[in-house]
Amino acid sequence: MSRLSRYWPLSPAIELPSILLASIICLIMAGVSFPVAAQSSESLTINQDSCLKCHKRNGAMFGLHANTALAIQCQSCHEQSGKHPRKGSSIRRFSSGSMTSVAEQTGTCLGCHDHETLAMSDWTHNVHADKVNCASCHQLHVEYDPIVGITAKDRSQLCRGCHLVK
Amino acid sequence: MDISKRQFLTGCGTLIAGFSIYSVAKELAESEAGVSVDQTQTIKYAMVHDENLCIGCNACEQACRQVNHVPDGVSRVVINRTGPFGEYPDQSYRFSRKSCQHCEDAPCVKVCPTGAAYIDQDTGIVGVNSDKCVGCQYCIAACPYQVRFINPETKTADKCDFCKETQLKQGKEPACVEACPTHALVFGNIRDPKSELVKTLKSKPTYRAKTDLGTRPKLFHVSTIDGEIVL
Repeated sequence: MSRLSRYWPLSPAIELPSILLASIICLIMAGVSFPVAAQSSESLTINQDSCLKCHKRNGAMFGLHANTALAIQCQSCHEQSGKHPRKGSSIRRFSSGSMTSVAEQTGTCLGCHDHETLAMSDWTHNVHADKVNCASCHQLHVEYDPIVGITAKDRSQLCRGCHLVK
Repeated sequence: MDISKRQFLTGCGTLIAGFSIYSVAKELAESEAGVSVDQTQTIKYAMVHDENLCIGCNACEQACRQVNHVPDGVSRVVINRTGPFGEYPDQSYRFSRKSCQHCEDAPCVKVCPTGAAYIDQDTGIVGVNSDKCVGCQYCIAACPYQVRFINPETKTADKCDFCKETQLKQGKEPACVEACPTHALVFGNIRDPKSELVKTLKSKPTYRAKTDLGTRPKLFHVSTIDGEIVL
């Protein structure tokens, strides 16, 4: 009898292992929790923010950064609204075409994310450093950042998007 | 006519000495001229990898894999990355292409017991005839550039053949060259003075790997200028 089959309720005579198996499955199911997906997006603290009263059209905040435990607010990244909306705003916008300088955009992310840790996850962080804004590759409002788990081929194509010499 | 014994022997000795000196001299001249380089060959393919233009995106490897149906786990071309050099945020990496050098005096061809490894006489491309290959791996051991591998699907030796069987047959450039977004790879006929390859070789300083082995490789590299002397 193999080691596995000892825990497999093939024979009805073996009562105890079958109970064990069921309980193990229950434990595993309870253990696998989805910290973000478990809550509906509206119930996340960040989506109760006053900004969202007007900015609903921009979509709600999902993903890891919306985790209530992190206590991140819109202002944590986009800065204080100031006189907005009565007067023009100077909030940070994270995109390649943004008025916010690339150094300021990357500086915001690097406030929490250590560049050495980033280098360990991918070498391209080192070369792009403060010269390319993070939003060129990353999205953090969506539930899952599409760059995580990208295929090798898509990754090469992403490089091509900027580096293509005509 | 009266020839003395002495005269006869002197004559024979001179003849033998002259013939032996001629044959030795001829052999020396042949070896100095190099091993049978076919000067009439009109096509001799080569490649340049500009390490300054390379960004390490691996698009070449992906394209090669797709076009030549290279299975996962092995690759015909690898871009080796070293670094980072410098201090954050001004860091850089160096990239080096590792693939078949298409040697004119290829050790893999010399050791192949079945004739599966061959140099194509029309193009100078080092190829593998997988029908003849028995998978003995002599070529893998012999290759000084360590670019050969056993294809897990065909169980035969495999390596870059400049897309001889795929892209070149369709009149296209090799897949890696087409895929490179920065034009870091230049492929062409080294015999054609008007080709982009020859122009690149004339305008940029290049090096080749392990030339001291006398393999006469045809994969040229433009060395990373970062951290080097500027010409």
